[in-house]
Amino acid sequence: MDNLSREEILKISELSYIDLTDEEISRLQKELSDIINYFTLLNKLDTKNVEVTGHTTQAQSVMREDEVQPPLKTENVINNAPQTAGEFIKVPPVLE
Amino acid sequence: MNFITAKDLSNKLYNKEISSYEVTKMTFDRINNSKLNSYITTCEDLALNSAKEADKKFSENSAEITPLTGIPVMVKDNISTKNIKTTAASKILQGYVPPFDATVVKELKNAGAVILGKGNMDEFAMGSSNETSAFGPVLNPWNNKKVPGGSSGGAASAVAAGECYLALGSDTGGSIRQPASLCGVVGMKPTYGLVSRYGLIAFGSSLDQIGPIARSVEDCGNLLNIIAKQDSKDSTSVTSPYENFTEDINKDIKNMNLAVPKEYITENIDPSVKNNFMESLSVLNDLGANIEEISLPLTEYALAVYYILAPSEASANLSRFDGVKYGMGTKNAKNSTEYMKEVRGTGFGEEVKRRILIGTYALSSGYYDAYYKKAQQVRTLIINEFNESFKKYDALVTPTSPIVAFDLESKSNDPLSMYMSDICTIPANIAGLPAISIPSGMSNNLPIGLQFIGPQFGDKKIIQIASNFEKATQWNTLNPSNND
Repeated sequence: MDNLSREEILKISELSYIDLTDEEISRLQKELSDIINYFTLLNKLDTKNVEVTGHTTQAQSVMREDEVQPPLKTENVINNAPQTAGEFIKVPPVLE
Repeated sequence: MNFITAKDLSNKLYNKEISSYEVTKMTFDRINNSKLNSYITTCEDLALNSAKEADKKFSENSAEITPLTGIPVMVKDNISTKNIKTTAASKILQGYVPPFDATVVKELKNAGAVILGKGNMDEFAMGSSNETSAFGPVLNPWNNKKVPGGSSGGAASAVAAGECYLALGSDTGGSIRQPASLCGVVGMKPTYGLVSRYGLIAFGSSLDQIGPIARSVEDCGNLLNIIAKQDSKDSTSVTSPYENFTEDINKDIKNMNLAVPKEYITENIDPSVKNNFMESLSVLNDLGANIEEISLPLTEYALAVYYILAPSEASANLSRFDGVKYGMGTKNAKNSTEYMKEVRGTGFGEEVKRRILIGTYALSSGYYDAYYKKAQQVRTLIINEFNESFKKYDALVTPTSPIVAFDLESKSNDPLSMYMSDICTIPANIAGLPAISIPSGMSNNLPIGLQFIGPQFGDKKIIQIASNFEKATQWNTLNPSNND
């Protein structure tokens, strides 16, 4: 596989919500390509009709009684937010 | 005194030869004068208060005394601690103070342990050298020019250097066992599901497992006894099949069947590690175990499977870090999208960004089947191959790491080569198996580790085998104090 193009890196960075500098983009073109090339090793194995494994324990949906539990206090939660206004978390505009 | 096992310390506390307060003070003296950088956060006042409470229990001969009562413990910084800063060694979580305890932390507190502080680590547990921490690297206590391994580098280094008696780490691809090996201490990754992950800052949720780091196998088992519990807050957690993980440590291992998978003795294994491994096999042989070489041909695919699954799961798990609810923010962004992209672009370190991007790529439309689904299928094949081998063998025995502790900064510019150093530890995570690393010798004053991998829920068995090896060799009693 050729190195990932600048546009491909930009697309992944867009999907991941991560700003990258130009220097990072050119470095990642090579690094990610090396790693992804390494993945093609798996193509040597025939996995037709093989089930996927998501978790190694046979986790079932766990049901519990629908009981009211004491929630975290508002101040304990918003204390961690970088910007707040009263009892609310403040963010820059979502719609412009 | 700083280098005795938690069990010996517990006996001294019980017999009132020393108080938990004195031990905790003494341990903080070491921490505060240390250059190893094992801790990101310490909480001396809280710790001394818990030590006093523990001493009260001893003076009253309380029925609540456990093997952890009054014992100074470190908790890795990706495990949430109520009112104690928790950053997972990332700038993006700077200043974050969890409003709740992880289940394992709650269990530690219930057992009377004294929490000293939070262990340095690779950022979000992504790394094998502790160099990706936003708070600087940890030094190996045996040789300060070397890495301690990672990602639980602070935990392994602190246990080795007498800066705590026990530690909780997390292991996604070897992050407990590899640093334990490089620092000459015991580290165990329990069977997936035995220990609740509630409150562990998630990396690869189907691979992550919390586990103990200690100076003896028995200490590891005693800590596991406290933390291995089903938890309604983690739907992948299971009820422990054992009351006591250490009950068989005094039984011998005569006629046990151990297998050496030849694929774990890689081409680039350090010759001193290989020689040491052969010596370890003859010790096990002398203890009466039958040892055979086997082949697990799918081992060669494990690394590729891991570096698809772990980053894919990480890319989803780390989407919660957006600078809105906690951690660092930024002032200049014009809108929310720009805000999050800037926070994530500047808040995450290089390795974390690399893995989120790989995972995003592997999960993106058009690539999902070729990478993520394929890796999950190969995962099934790897599990089947392990299961076949465990029909005949009680456990597998391998080196923990093909190399001893390497120089700081020697691998940080070559991600693939860094990934290769986890080749012996990753398969156990893929299959959810228990595995333990114990000290097995030294090479140029650097520790070497030996790993036992057991079948699913074979935790008690590998503790028994490892303990037999430990008693026969006593490599765990060496400590780096002469380097002080």
